[in-house]
Amino acid sequence: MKMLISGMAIAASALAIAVPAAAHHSFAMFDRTKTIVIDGTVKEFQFTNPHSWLEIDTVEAGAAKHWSFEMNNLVGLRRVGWRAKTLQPGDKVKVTMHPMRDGTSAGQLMSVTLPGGQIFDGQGIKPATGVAAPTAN
Amino acid sequence: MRKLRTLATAAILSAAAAALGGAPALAQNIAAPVAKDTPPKNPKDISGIWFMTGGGKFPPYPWTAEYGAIAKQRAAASDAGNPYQPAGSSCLPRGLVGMLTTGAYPLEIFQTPREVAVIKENGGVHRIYLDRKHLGEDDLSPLFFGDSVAHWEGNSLVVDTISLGATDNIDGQNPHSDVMHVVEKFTRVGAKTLDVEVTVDDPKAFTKPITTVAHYTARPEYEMQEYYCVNERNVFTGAGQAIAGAK
Repeated sequence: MKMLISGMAIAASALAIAVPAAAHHSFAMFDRTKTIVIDGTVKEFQFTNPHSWLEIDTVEAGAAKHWSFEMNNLVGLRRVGWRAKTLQPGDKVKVTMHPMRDGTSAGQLMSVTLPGGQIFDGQGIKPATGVAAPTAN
Repeated sequence: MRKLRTLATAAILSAAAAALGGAPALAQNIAAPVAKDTPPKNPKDISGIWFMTGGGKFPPYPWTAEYGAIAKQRAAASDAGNPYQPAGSSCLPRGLVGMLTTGAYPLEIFQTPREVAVIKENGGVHRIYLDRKHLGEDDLSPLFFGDSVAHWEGNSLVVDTISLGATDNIDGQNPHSDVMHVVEKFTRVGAKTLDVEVTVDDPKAFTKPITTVAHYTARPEYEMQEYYCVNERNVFTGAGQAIAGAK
């Protein structure tokens, strides 16, 4: 199921990113006025630099679809609680994202809700909720 | 409805503050400035791990006609959805000015009597020599962190850097020339606080020098992470961007 969040919430989420556009290469390709929530199954979690990526499979209008989501880099994600095994293939997740402007089945991952209800920030901004504080940085 | 309005207002204010304060990507900046610091044990010791916690913003760039035109053209391209691609977007270092004035990643400073090495977590090593003057032009080539030589003035390490032509952008987008000359002053102002003043003098690009002070806070227990680009999936076509492996 996909939900389009409209109104004030979009403005809030778009402006909450405190990274100036000039300093990063790729934010311009996402439509940050649109926030979409999408349910899917993890195919692969690439915990890497310069970006981590989450690949999920979804079912939309009865058809199988695949999405690729760009995340913050490994170092930044680690600081807000991510580890290599935070997401495993087969996990059922809820993703909040800004879609690509050009219609590619891809987007900027803002947050993901795990099967156990924990919420992890995809851009390394907020510490993960519902988890114990990490023991290492 | 009131809750959403408050959230939006808070987000607008924090984004505005971030834009004015010039400390981007605060998310990754996991130190907070020390409310009341104590004097440093050894003010000439600038070693350690430092997170930028304030400052670092230049005044509006005082462009020459030629470089102002380049700046305007790059801004227009970015607005049109084709952002300028600095070296860092393919994982090369941002360069000297960016290393010292954009937060997001910490600096690790190693210090010997002969040399100071400033390493940034997302790449880049700035080596500063205290035992010599600048190399001659015949011995120099375009560099990311330049030819850097330094001496102590009181408790400030004053660093002079030339030969910075390996990059063509000062902040990820705006241009600088091959004659950019940078003076840094590292001052350990407190046990947990380091100020880094950066002055950029570029007569081809700017009509006068520009200066900022970046404030850093110590996090001695932090371990610097590896940062190597093993998975670059952004493809820059010149007309826009694509993601490798996405449909």
